Amino acid sequence: MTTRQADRPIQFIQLLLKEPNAWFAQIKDEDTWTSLPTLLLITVLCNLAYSMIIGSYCGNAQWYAAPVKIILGSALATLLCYPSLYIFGCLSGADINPGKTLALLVSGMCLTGILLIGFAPVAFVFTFAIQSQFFMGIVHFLAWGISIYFGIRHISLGLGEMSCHNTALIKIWGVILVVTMLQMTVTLRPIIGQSDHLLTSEKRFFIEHWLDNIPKNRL
Amino acid sequence: MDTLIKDLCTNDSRTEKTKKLFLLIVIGGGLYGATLGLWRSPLQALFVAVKFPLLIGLTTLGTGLINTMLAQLMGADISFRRSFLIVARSYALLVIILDSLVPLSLFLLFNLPSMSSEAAVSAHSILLLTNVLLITLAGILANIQLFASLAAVCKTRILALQILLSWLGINMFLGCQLSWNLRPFFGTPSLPVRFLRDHPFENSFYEAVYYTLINLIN
Repeated sequence: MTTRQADRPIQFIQLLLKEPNAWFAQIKDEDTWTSLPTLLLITVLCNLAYSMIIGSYCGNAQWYAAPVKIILGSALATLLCYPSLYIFGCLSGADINPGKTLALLVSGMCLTGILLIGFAPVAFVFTFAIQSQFFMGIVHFLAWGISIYFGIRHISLGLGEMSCHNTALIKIWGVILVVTMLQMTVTLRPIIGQSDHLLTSEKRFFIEHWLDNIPKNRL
Repeated sequence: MDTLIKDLCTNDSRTEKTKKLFLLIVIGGGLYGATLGLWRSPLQALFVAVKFPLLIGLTTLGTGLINTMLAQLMGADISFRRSFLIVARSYALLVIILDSLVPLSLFLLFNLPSMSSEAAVSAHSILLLTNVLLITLAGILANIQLFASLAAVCKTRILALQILLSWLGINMFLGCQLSWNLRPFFGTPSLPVRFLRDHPFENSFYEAVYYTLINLIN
């Protein structure tokens, strides 16, 4: 199947999972602009569905606050890392331009969202069982961690198809993306827990925030 | 029975019949489940006969989607139905192996002190440990078969091993939690016989392990 044949979202999902090389070939041909809206739609819908599961842990305002924060936060973190991906890709020898980089980045984030949907039934079971917000966070980070790993791997494979000969810089970029996204979760907190305010003005580094939230005693 | 086992050990998709696997897991799993609860009481045996296949079914359903996606991403041409059937087949084999050990479990039950005796607590521990050993043995054998099934549809054995490990990790992650939610299985002697504990979905396996460790350290 090629992306030209994949006009429906479900076919696009199959393409990214099973035949990513067909998508990379299309990026190389700079023929991706018609597919980008479909990719963005899948990304938003997948993130919306998974973030509603996150929001269901506390309920109330988090039903809508968590999806909004996660979708906007992911989009912002991705945009923040977009220029560095382009530069790091060029430095690695990849034959890319800003358009190709954007297409690759969006497809990587789309794949991350698709995998999150795969984890949704697992996360759903834990949403009812877990009492501590910290442990709920760990479950979501595990699901997200595996998903983003494959998303970054997809981007790295795509750059490999475009003559990238040095993947070390791409790995560093992957770490930058992960750290940016993790910090975004703390900047936009609370996402899992409940609060009187939709956003918190206190500035904190994500590791410091996590260490402070490790439960010391049974609830 | 030998035809059935050969079918389960064959990597031919034509032998995979969803209904047959489903029935095997329900009936076979129910039989082994009953032996788990029999020491506590006949009612507990009935409850576990329902819960054991339920645990297998819920774990398979809950992890089916992500298992398929990961297998496809790693490069295996496996559809959702195929991955579901491969996992269900390995569970069916697990159930058959466990069922073959039912006579031994019953012999153990016959030799254990009864629920009303003073040694009930130690009897409960022996029952628990023995069945953990039996399930581990059956699990290893079933996973060897799962690996063979994956190797038949993957390009390389390394890829099959990678997929097996990822599936194992995810199935164990959800399976531990679901077994925690669906307890009791063996039936603690000091607690009344019930289908589920009070508030079965208000706690998690991993929190319990964490707090137990914290208590030990403190």
